[in-house]
Parts: sequence; structure tokens; C-alpha cells
Amino acid sequence: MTATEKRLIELAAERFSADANLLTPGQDFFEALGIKSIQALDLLTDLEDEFDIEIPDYEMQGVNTFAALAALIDKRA
Amino acid sequence: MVEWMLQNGIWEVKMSAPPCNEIGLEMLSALESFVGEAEASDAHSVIIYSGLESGFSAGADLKSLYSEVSGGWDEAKRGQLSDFLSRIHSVFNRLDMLPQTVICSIHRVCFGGGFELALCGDIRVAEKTARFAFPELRLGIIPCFGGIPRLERDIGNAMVRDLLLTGRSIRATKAAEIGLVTHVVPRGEGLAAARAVANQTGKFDPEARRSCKQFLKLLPTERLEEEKRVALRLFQSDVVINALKKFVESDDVRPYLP
Amino acid sequence: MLTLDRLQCLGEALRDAMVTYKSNIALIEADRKRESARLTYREVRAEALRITALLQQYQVRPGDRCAILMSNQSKWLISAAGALWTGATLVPLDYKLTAPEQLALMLHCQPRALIIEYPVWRKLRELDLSGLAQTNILVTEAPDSDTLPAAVRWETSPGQAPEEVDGQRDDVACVVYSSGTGGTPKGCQLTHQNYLAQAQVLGRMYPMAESDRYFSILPTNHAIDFMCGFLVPFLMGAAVVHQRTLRPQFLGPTMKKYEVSHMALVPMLLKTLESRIRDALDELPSAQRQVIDTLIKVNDYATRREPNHALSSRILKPLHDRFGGRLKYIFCGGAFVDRGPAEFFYRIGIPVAIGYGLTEAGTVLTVNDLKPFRGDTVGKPVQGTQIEIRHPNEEGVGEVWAKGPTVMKGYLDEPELTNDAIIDGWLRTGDLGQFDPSGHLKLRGRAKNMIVTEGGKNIYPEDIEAAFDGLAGCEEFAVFAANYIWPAATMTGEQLTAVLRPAAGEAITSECLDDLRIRNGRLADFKRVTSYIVWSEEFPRTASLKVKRNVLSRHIAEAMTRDSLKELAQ
Repeated sequence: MTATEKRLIELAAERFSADANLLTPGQDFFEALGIKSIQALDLLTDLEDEFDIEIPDYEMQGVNTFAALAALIDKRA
Repeated sequence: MVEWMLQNGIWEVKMSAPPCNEIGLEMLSALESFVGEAEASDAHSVIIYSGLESGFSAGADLKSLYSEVSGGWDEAKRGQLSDFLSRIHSVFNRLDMLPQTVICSIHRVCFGGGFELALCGDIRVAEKTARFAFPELRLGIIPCFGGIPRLERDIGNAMVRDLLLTGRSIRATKAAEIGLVTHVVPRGEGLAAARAVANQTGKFDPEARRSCKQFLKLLPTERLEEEKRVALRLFQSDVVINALKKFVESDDVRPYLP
Repeated sequence: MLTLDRLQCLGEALRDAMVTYKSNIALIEADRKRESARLTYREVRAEALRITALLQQYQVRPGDRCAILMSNQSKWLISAAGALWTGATLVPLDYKLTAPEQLALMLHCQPRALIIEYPVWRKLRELDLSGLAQTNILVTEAPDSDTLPAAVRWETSPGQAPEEVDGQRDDVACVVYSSGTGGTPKGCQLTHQNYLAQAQVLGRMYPMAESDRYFSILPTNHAIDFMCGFLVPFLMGAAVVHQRTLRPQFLGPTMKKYEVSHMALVPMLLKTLESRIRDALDELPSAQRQVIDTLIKVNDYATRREPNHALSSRILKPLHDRFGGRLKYIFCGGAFVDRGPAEFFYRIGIPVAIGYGLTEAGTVLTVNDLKPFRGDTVGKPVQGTQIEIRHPNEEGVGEVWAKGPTVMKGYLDEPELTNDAIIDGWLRTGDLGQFDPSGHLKLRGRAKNMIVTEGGKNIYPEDIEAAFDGLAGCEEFAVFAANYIWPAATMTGEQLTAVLRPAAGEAITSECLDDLRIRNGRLADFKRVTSYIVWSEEFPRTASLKVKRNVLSRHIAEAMTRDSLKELAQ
């Protein structure tokens, strides 16, 4: 996994009290974390702060996996 | 629902209407009652915050709205909607112009009508988890609780257009960058920060403080009326009913995301 | 839904309504001594047409004036309708004025006919009525023993058939005098258009169902009752209840018996009603009292949102039952309304709709729509009416000016006064106010030198001055509304103040004060001066020797504060 994916998974695990070891980049993060859109926003905030970027939330369309999310971050970093 | 308490010259207004302080008839009436009391009191500050985990307010009560209009629009329903909007505008205007310094403490979701409520405040404190958005365009309407003129009053027009025309949400840090909020605090610290602001503003001569606010803050009356008119016109289209239906019937994996 | 745009005049509107609602009850007259009389619209039409014919028999022609002078009762409305159908202009006079005051108004307007009730006629005919030689007098309920010289019985059968004449929208329907306390009579000429426009707006905001009952407590010559207790109920097929012996202790039982749904009150009566209810509550055994108190709290919570009459009357059934349980609205205006009583009624489930208007502009310029209930404002401008706040100060308080379809045509025979009052179609109300952020008007004081009593009477200080002509030991004398000299941003604390300039020397003599006290005592209590100040400079006057009030009051305000007012012992 890439550095971004790793950091992303760490933050997600921290935010949602999940076990980072059980999370892999290919997973759908809604399912894996058991969250809904409102919590996805919380994750987004964490990511924006962490990477000091802005991710317009409409770019999240079609982005369901950790890998895709990490790619989105990389595009903006 | 909504409770308010006066202590040490500060009104603390706590909204606790699950799921996320949606603004419908009940919230409206509670705000009307509160505003009447506040106008008559000589408190120096008002703090508005949410007692719910889910956030400050997700906006208008779309579920009620949908159940009202799902049968289709008619003259009577249009009248009711118009009345409702007028009442919201009235109470938001009174909130906007209260003699007290109004501080909003925002965490997590602050969307649509909720954002419009926050814009009535004089000073906004945001926890790091706060996110602001005007997603109305997704429903085929525009913000109609007075949000647009108030946003125009507070931040630069480029950002107003971006927020309105994309419907995207921005986080607290970004909101501070654009001047929408003036304090960003860690999670859970919003109320404490708001109280500190209130205590500070309360130290000054009331007459001077009131005059100062009155001088600084103008009510954009004509723009507000125009916004209401445009919103009512848009409401009549089928686009709105279909969008409401979709929102209400979703099992929420993504409704807060575009 | 009232749509009156295509109607030409009140006569046509009333005729249409009476024909449409023929079997509905129109009028109910209650009196503790006798059984109530009930009349259907068909019956009212028949009686009123008889009056039309009778008036025409006595030469009343279209455009003539017909005055009515009687206490609240069915005959008032019947006479009014009958007179309107002759094409005459109504002059509703205040039966509570003294006979000389009533005479003065009639000498001013020279009515062709006067419809008057016997007790009032008894007093009036003792005066010299030679100035009313053209006036035909119709007296109601005169006893057989009185031969009624110079008058005709109202109950007489006419010798001819009635011929209904309709007016045009722009014709004057009524001349309503806005003050009857002496001085120049100000007869507001209100057109059919003024009334129809007002009725349409009020009928839409507060529609009456055919089963609704309006309790007419205010005198029908009063603008509020003429509209809410005559025109609107009749045009909507509802009924009006009159109670002849109007004493506070009979209000409740009457409201209950006739299932009253609507009422209009002046603030004084609102307070009276509130204290009656509170007294009744106090008299309850404490267990019941506690229950009611709890119920009031529950109702409070349940109706924080908006009036919910069905809910409130269920929660507060024991309380509402005392008043018949059907009371939906109380309209309140005519003078400053204290928020306390209004909020009390709202808390027990009866919304009070507060409004503001002037005789010069119909019944209401602004009224609350109860969405939501506000006890601290007089509401928003009614549809079609514009309100402007001119020359606002930093707080936004300025003079209230109004324009709209209910503004009068002008004062009868007083072009100068009219031009002072209406400029470019805008009526100068003489009141001070401001709009609050929700668009509601709040009244904040008076720009004109006048006070309004709690009973809604306008008192012009200049008119009181006549009572003090030739005051002993006094070189010059003027009466002011204290709030005019020292404007306070409030409508309360109104009082009349005498400004005295003593003759020779500076001090005021006890002779002067005694004379002042004696003459003051002869006035009706609401017209009395309650304080005085001594002024040593000559009063500024115009070329025609009228006192320049605005200049004098400014000088006084600059020289002394309101605390310098000396109380005048009564």
C-alpha cells in the first residue's frame, strides 16, 4: 500500500475506533468502517486537515474504496 | 427540543431535536418564543449551540416538507409554504437584529437552513469537525431562509458563488480562512469558547455595545424579500418534489455527500 | 372568501349578502330582562327596507346625510342598512357624548334625518334645536304616553314603497367624527371604496363562518365595531349578538349562552375581562386552582408554536366553558395595547389580534396575523396599504405615514385641515413608530399634541382649553399632552398638563390653582388635567394670535425636565 493509503487507513481507524490491521486499500470504506455519509464527512475533514488540502466533496462521487480515496488525495497534495 | 436558559447575562440556547435539529414548525415556534423573551431581556449575549452529537443543524425539515407536498401542489399548499417562509424570515431577522451579541457554536453538520441559522449570529465559533454547505441546488431550489444575502454580507462573492453553485461542503479551517468563522477550536471545546466570547462582550457598556452592533450590522431587507420570491417560484416545479422524494426515501449511504 | 371588487357600494354589498344568506340568523339581541330577539337576514332586509321607505317619505334623497344616535342594538344595524339603501351618507354618532356635543356635530353636518333612541332624544330635545330645522327626527321605542312633538316614531309604517338607490365606489358612504370633545369637528369622509377594501382584506385574514357569532360590545359608531360587528359578519352570513344592558358581570353568561366566537375590545375592556377571569380563578378552591394553573402551563407549552384553538379549548375546557368555549379571536385596538393582557389571553388559548388604525383610514392600517402571535407589535401593514416611517432617528423611530385604499377622502368642509393631514395621497397619522426586523410596526409615541384614553377616545388638549377660559390670576394658559413636550418612546404615561403664565409677578396664586381645580373637576375624568407647570415668558404666537405650540413646547423642554411637573390635586 502507498504511504497515503497507509496514513489514510490509520486516520480512519483512529476516527472510527477500528483495527487498522483489518483494513485494506481495496475495501469499500462505508462497509468496512460501518459508516454513513455523515461520518464520511468527518473522515474528509480529518484528511483535509492532515494533508492540508481541500477535497471538494463532489469529487467523492464514485469513490468508495480507500485506494480511490488515497488517489484523490494524491492528486491534490 | 429547544431549551434556553439565562445565566450571568447570557442566554444559552440548546437545540436538541433529533436526528439533526431539522428546522420545521416546531423549531420555528421555539425560536419565535425565545426571540420574544430575548428582545425583552437585558442579557448581553446569546449562545446558540446543539446538544446533539450529529451536528449543529442539517437544515430544513425535508421529511415534513415532502409529506406536505407529495400529494402535489395546490394554491393552499403554496400559501402555507409562503407563510412558513415568511415566518422563518421574520424570526431569523429578529435573531439577526437582537440587541444581544449572538454567538453560534458549531460542530459537525451545518448545512442549508442550519447554515442560514448560523449566519444570523454575530460571531461564529467552529469546532474542527464542523462542515458548512448549501446543498439546495441538489433539490432544485436555492437557500430560502435568508442565507444568501447574509452570506454575501459576511464573505467574498467568489466563495459565495462556489458554495452555492457546487453545493460542496467546506471544513472549519477553510471556513476560518474565508472569514466565515472567526474561531476554530478542538472537538468538544465550542461551548466553552463561546462562553468566553460572551463574557468578554458582556464587559462593555450595554448601550455602547448595542449601538455598535446596530451600526455594524444592517439587515439586507430587499435582498431577503427577493430571495424568498425566487425560492417560492422554484418550489413549484416537479424537480423539487422528485428530489425531495429521493432524499426522503434513501436509506442513507450517501445523502449528505453529493 | 370575500370578493368585493366588483361591488359599487355598501348598499349593494349588504343587499347581496342579505339575499344570499336569507335564512341565516343575522341579529341576536340579549337582555337579562326579556327574551332575546332573533332576526334572520330576510327579516332584517324587510325591516331595513321599511326604514328606507320611511326615510324617503321624509325627503331623504341620495347624497343627504342620515345620522344615527343610539346604543348598540339590532335597530342600529337595521337603520344603517335602511339609510344606506336610500343612497344617503351615514353619520354614526357617539351616543356617549353629551347632548351639546352631539348637537354641535349635527350642526356641522346638517343631516336630513336623525335616527335616535328615546333616552338620548329626551336629553337632546331640551336644547335649542333651531339650527336643525332641516332634520327629520325618527325616535325608536318612544313610549305611547309621549306625543313626540317635532319627531316621528321609528316604528311607523311608511306610506310608500322603498326605492333603493346605489352609490358609486368613490361616493362618501359615512362621515365619522374622529373627536367629539369640542373644537373644530373633524368629520372623516369615508367612501364605499374605503369600506369595501377594508372589509375584503379583513374578511380574508379573519374569515367568519356562517355559524360564527360576533359579540358587539363596542358601540357600532366606532370604526372597529362598524367593520367587525356589522359589515364583515353581514357580508359573510354570520350573526351579531348585542346585549342591551352591558354590564361586566353579564359578559361571561352572554358569551356562553350565544356561543360567541369573535369579539373586538378596546384595551380598557381587555384589562377588565382579564381581571374578571383572574378573579374567577382566584375564587376557585385551591385544588381546582392548581389544576387550572397546571393546565395553563400545559397549554402554554403546547401552543408556543401558534394558536391551536381546538387543542387549547380541550386543555383548558373548564376555563373556556365559562365563556362558551367557542371564542376564537379577540380583536384589540383603538388605543395602545399593553402586551400583558394580550399575552394572558394567548396563554389561556384565546389569541388577541392587535391592530392599529385611525378613523381617517378605516379600521386597520396594520394588524397582527397571528403567525405567530405577537403581543408587542401592532402587526404588519394590511394588503394594499403602505406604511412609511419618515424622518427616522438613529433608533429608526419616526413619523408614521400611510397610503392605501382605506384612507379617507378628507374632512367634511375642512379643506385646510384635510390638506394638513393628507399630502400627496399619504396620510399623516401623527403617531411615531418603527418597524422591527420582522416587518412588524411598533408604536412608540405621538407626534401630535393629543392623548388617547384607554377607552379609545382621542382627546385634543386644545379642546380642553375652552374649559379654562378666563382662569383667575392667569395671564396665559395652554394645555399640552405631557408626552408632546417631553417625548418618551412609549404610548403609556399619557397625561394632560396645564402650562400657566401668572399675571403680575412670578408666583402662581392659590386663587388660580383653586379655580383650576374647580373647573377641572367639572370635566369628565378622562379629560382632566393632572399636572401643571408655571411658565414666566410670554407664549409665542402666530400673526393670528394662535399659540405656536411646537415652539412653546420646545422652549419648555429645553428649560425643564418632566420632573418639574407639579401634580394638580384633584
